[in-house]
Amino acid sequence: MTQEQSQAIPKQAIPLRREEKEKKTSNLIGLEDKEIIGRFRNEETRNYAFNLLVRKYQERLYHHIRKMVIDHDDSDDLLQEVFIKAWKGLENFREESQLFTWLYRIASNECLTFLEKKKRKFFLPIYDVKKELSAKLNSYVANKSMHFSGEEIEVKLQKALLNLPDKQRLVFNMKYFDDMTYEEMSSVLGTSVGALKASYHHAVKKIEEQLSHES
Amino acid sequence: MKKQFYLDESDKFKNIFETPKDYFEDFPQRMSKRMEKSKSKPIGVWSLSPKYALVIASIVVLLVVGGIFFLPSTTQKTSEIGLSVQEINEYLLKDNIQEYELVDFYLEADLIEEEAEENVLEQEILEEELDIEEIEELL
Repeated sequence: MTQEQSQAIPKQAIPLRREEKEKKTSNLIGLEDKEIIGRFRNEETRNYAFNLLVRKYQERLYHHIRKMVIDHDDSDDLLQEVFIKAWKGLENFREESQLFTWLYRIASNECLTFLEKKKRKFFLPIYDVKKELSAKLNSYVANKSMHFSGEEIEVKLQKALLNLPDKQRLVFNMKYFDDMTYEEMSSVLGTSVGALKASYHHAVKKIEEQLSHES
Repeated sequence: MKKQFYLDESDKFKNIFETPKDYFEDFPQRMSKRMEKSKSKPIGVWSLSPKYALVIASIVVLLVVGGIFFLPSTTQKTSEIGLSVQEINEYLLKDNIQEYELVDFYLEADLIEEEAEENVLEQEILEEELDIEEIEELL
């Protein structure tokens, strides 16, 4: 666009066009998973479909990962890994399960592998990795980081969560923060509904006990 | 007295983690760039997964270390008792052994060896010269 053309456009038109674009994008993001998969299987629309998939699920997956690994940069790396794995596996994705539970499963596995690697890398017992994650939370609070907002009790809750085993933490996060049903969680974690209910119940009890002790 | 805390399911705590400004606006573009990069990456040894690369590196290291320790050394001279010249020199320096003491030690050792050799020779001569029957008669 030349400078003359740019000047010819009324000032109000630019934000309007941006709004239109955003509206169009959000409509496309609202596409059914089936349609996204269909477009992905077509060589010509593959990149476009994948872009839609990223836009549709990036936020939910990011927060799912972030609650597990705490650090923003680690979450960013893992989110990219999740989408790369999704790209590789999407063509063979069987539509028996929902696309979002499949993505959640990839993300959950990435988190567990990441935390496990962290433990093995530094030859540290579980306690020390939790300590490291807890220190990260403290640094966010101390530096009043813009990547973090929370009141004291919410920070305490996050710290209490770090004392749970990683898989139980996943269960708690999916149920409490993401409002997932036990059936969806079962599809993500490959664990029975009964076991998940028990795990969540125990997690709640442990957290309540710890927070009661601290208050 | 401590106050009992309950997690209220109807009034949940919010997620406290936030992202940098425009993170989700920029992420799809960054992702596309990364995908393009990974597609154009040539396949070579360095594209191996870290697990396989580590296995190969370990084998190479083991071969090198094995070669150094187990193959006979051509550069380092060793004595008959299996010690290198350098090791002997270090030992001598440490224990402050004088040269003349060494000379005496080797001379003595040589004499003992010579005597032993002579004894063996005498035995052989005796065996050759004398018949067993003669010996039996003498006895």
